[in-house]
Amino acid sequence: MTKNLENYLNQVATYLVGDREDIIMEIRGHILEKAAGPEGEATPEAIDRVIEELGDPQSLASNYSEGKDIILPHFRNLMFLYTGILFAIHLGATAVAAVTGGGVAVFPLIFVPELGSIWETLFFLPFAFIFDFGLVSLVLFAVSQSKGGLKLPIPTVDSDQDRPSPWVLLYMGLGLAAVAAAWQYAGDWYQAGNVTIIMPTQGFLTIALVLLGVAVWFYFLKVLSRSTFMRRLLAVLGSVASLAALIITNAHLAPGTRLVEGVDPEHARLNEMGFQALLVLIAVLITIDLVKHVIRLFAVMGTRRARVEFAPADSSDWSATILRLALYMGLMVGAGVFIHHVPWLFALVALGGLAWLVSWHSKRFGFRCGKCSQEFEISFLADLISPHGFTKEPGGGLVGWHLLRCPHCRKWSRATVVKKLTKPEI
Amino acid sequence: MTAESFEKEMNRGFVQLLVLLLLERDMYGYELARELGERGYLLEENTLYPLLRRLEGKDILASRWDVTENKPRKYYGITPAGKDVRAELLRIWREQAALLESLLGGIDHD
Repeated sequence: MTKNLENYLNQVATYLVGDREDIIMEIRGHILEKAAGPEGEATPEAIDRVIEELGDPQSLASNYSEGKDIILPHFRNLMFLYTGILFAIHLGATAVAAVTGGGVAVFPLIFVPELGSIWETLFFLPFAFIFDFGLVSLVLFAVSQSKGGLKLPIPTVDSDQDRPSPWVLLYMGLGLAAVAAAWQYAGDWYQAGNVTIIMPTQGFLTIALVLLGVAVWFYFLKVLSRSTFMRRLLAVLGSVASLAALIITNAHLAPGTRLVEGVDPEHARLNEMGFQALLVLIAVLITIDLVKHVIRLFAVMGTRRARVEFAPADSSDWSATILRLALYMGLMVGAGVFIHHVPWLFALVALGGLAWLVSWHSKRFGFRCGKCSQEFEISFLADLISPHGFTKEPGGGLVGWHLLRCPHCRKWSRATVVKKLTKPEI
Repeated sequence: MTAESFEKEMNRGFVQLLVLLLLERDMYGYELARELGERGYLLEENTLYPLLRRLEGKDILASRWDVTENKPRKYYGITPAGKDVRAELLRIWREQAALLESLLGGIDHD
């Protein structure tokens, strides 16, 4: 027996599943018999030659594993979907644990220990993810190995919230402003006849302000997004950011800001319980939303955007562009008159309006390369920063252009504006 | 996909049929490969042995170890269930061959 033969068989055995001893015995017999040939004696050189013919040990062993998948390949998407849902729930449970200051357990799937600080929470989450992934893998392994052909449930939710509206963004902005305005009356109470009006505490308003700020920011990004996938991804990230914001803000609330001022100890305890209950409710609602967003995201993963057709821009495109430019100018004039003394708010309105205008333009129009005449789409950013202007067409009319690099011929040119005929949706 | 991988795909069922036809009498793996080689069909051993295992796992083949000589050999033979499968595979192959012939009849070959 040569050392090479034993090494080779050991390596094959490492990768084998099933009756390893029997398979190795058969391979050994084959190698020795083939190496011996008609002469009847297997020399080390002949054995090495036969081993070489059999090929890589891992590859040989994998031929024996054909049809013996640990987890069936068609469960791949379900593996990520289930892990995503489970981790979303784990994330929500972590937020609940953080705001209540205790542990959370939903037997037997979810467990969050008492987390003392933000750092402990951060370190805990990767472990939670690995546990969720492992648990889902274990279930899928069991289903893959079962002979009964078990059907796994595929969760679905409606997807009617895919199209963000700038109007909703406006309402959210107004809500944010209202909460900011209520800030100065935080924790006050008023007697109006027999009715006592108690304003929310500063702690509650801080959390509301942060959560609304996160929601507005992600909704704004969704308005700018062109693909359904990106919008759904932003929805998932928005919910995750909301939970993170809830945990962080709750941990950093200034002492005394959670309670209504001047209440006795018994009422203070009830006040704190009510405050925590409210935060738990918020965490649960965000988690439910996160789970729905995860399901929606997986429903569009791996799909492609529809092919976009283009046509020359016409007078209706000019009218639509001029109308929006006029609206933007009107907004700027209004902002200059009414809020010029609040520079950050003025800048926010100016930038928000500009983003809306550019987002609309990049969604509605494509470009035709000045060198190869191929048409293409550009991103929001490219539309925003590329130098642009107008030029006269051979027929005498005006046509807009942007200085762009063509994705087809890779050359820079003044690409002329064309309109998209099909919506860039899935 | 390369011509080589196309050939591998096509050979999958064909090799099974060849093995089932040859194992009318019991043979061990190396003997089977040599028999096929003598008939002009080169089958790699790293394909043959796993295939024999799979067919055995499906009760299409049965095996026994012969340790009477100093070279232990594992002999394979076709089972009654395997004979039914072989008959079915042959029927499919004949139908496919006939279909191919009828399709190729109208094509001017190079």
